[in-house]
Amino acid sequence: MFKMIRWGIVLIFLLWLCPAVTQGYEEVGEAQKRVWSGYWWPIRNGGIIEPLKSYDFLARRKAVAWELKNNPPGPEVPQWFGFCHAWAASAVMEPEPQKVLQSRGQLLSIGIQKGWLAASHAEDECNFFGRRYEEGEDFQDIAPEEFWRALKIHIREQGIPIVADLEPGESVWNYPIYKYRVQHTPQGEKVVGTIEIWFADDSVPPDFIGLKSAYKRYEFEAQTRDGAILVGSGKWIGQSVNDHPDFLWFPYVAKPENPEVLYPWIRQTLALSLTEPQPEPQPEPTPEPEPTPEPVTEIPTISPEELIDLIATQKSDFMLDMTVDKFDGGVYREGDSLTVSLQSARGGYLYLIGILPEGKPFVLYPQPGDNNRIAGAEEITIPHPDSRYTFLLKEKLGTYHIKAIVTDKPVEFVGWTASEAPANASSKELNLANESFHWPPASMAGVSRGMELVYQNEREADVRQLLRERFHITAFAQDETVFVVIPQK
Amino acid sequence: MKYLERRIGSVLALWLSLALTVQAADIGPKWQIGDRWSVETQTIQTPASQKSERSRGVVWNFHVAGEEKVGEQDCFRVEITCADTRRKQPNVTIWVGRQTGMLTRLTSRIPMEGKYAEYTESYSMADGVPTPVLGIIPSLPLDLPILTEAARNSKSLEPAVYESVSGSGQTKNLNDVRFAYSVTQTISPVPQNRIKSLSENIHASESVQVRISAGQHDVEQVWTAEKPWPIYSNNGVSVSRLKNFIPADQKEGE
Repeated sequence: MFKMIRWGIVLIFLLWLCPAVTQGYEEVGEAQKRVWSGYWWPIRNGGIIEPLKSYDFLARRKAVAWELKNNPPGPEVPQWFGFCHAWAASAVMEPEPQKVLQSRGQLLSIGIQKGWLAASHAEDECNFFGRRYEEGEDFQDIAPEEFWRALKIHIREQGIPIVADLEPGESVWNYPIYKYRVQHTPQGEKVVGTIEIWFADDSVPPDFIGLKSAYKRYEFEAQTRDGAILVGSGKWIGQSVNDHPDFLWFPYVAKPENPEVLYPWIRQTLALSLTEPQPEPQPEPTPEPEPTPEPVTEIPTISPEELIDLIATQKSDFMLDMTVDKFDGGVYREGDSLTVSLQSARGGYLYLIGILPEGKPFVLYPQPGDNNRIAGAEEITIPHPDSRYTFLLKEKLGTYHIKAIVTDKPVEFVGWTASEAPANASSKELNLANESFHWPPASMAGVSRGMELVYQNEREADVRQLLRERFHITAFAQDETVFVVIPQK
Repeated sequence: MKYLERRIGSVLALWLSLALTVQAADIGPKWQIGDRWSVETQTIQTPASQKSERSRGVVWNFHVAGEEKVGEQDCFRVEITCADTRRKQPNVTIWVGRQTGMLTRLTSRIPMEGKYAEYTESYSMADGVPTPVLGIIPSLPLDLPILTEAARNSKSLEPAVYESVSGSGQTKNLNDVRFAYSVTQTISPVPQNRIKSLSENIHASESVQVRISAGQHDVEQVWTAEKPWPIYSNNGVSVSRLKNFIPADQKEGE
């Protein structure tokens, strides 16, 4: 009898201990400072020269001349060179411009104002975590536990956003992170977990107002010592070995790179447009109804990883039938043009995702200026007969795929903007080989690998629940077609 | 083989550190309340797509403002402010053990939207041995080695561990994750090329080079006799140099 009681006590103790041992841990942090999306001002296309023209006129300075000399635009400039760091720093340190202003006959659009702020933050004093990758250096830097610690110190403990270069290779792709979640589970002397981040995307037109929210998830493991995470022991695992952040930085003092740019003058000139944070409500003798907070423009977006699942999804809520003008499996010669025809059982928003032979996806439709709302049970041709562009098959030979989706609410994609006019819009010939998302190379490579698995039937997915939860989409349909481009005769 | 090399390296470093003990007796943070010094830092990393030259220097003023107890330890309280007062800059307070020389607590205040975002972090020795601690603001190097006589005479160069936890360290939140740093510190003579590169007029016999390593961090410092702070420090993110030192018993301008 005594033995039974003793074993019973031991059993109860073990049962009590088990959840404690295997219990997962979750840490969430969200910045109080609201970040905003902004254009990244690629130097190849002129950088911040355009917005600085009106600055020079109003401030009587020569900022454009300095930019032309020190950041000259042109086709020889690497494609990724731009002012993403300057936009990201301004999105962390400045309120977002909200109003179009007018000064001495100059109309200061939101894009011009954001350009001025970017110019003001092009060489900020900053605090740096991790080392910028250069050839021959440790590709795994920044370590996951260092990344986690910097997120915790800034976002969770101080309520301030932090900027990260999300490309582990040599190019730099800066984004302001405003929210994170770490989940991990102990496994003996180590923990295995995930770090999720939410950040502002820069694939927006210059005049965009609000936050186009992007999302990324990393996997890691780290050793523990008496329950503490051992710094220096962490490793990125899974897909994150090749796709993880490179470094983090926090800007704390505004410093223009261009000596002609006067930050105090810019702040003063834009004062009416910059929305300062609301002061904390003071206690009043008589209670008054709280003011209604202004709606925050926060647009959730489909991340590169989620896009793979969207393309892999084979299930639909209603019928959608699509083909190309040479039908499914059709063979085109290099230089041919292409049209897509489709019919949807229900009306909604139509998106066509093209996938190049090497697995790189891009948005084929809508193009800038297109209204992608379609009616149900109607045959539709893309490009529309009255469109100003045609789809041209050139340079890249091989098997192309097109995925069509119809949703009952519009969606956004990370790294893509519908309203930004592409450089070749006026040519009326859209060379599909040149189309691309604005993603860091590691993300692009990860998606290409994912697409390989999709087309080898090794990756299945159903994004309908995700679309319901994040985009409130209750009706979704998809279809896919494939065609081949071969050399000219 | 690597282990053997490390052991030989450790023994050599230990021998050198012992050899340096006599000359280096006055090396390290031996502060008095009222001491003041300034340090110029340059950030050597850039987030811009085009790599530029090192940033313009930022000068930080240090002031040993008082003595306070942190837990059981008597600590110096050192206030650190930016010399550039035209704009709001971060400021930092550190508490350093009077006997141990260990960085025990740090509070940083970062300007954000017209206010300061404040953060406090505490450091504790996991094995009961004072350890070097790496600061959390790489652009303002606060990495502090242990340069007490006991540490210099220490026969063990095995890694020591410290833990960092958010908050004052007085109460522990069981749900809050702790981070542990396994730190190694080596003390060696200052290489001739480093002495030449330093503008200070220093004597090799009165100076030591200190290396602190933890995880991916690697800090190199040069300490010299009767100076309160390293005359040179490079933590991979920033390079800093001691500008001037005004002891408490000396008035400014003397």
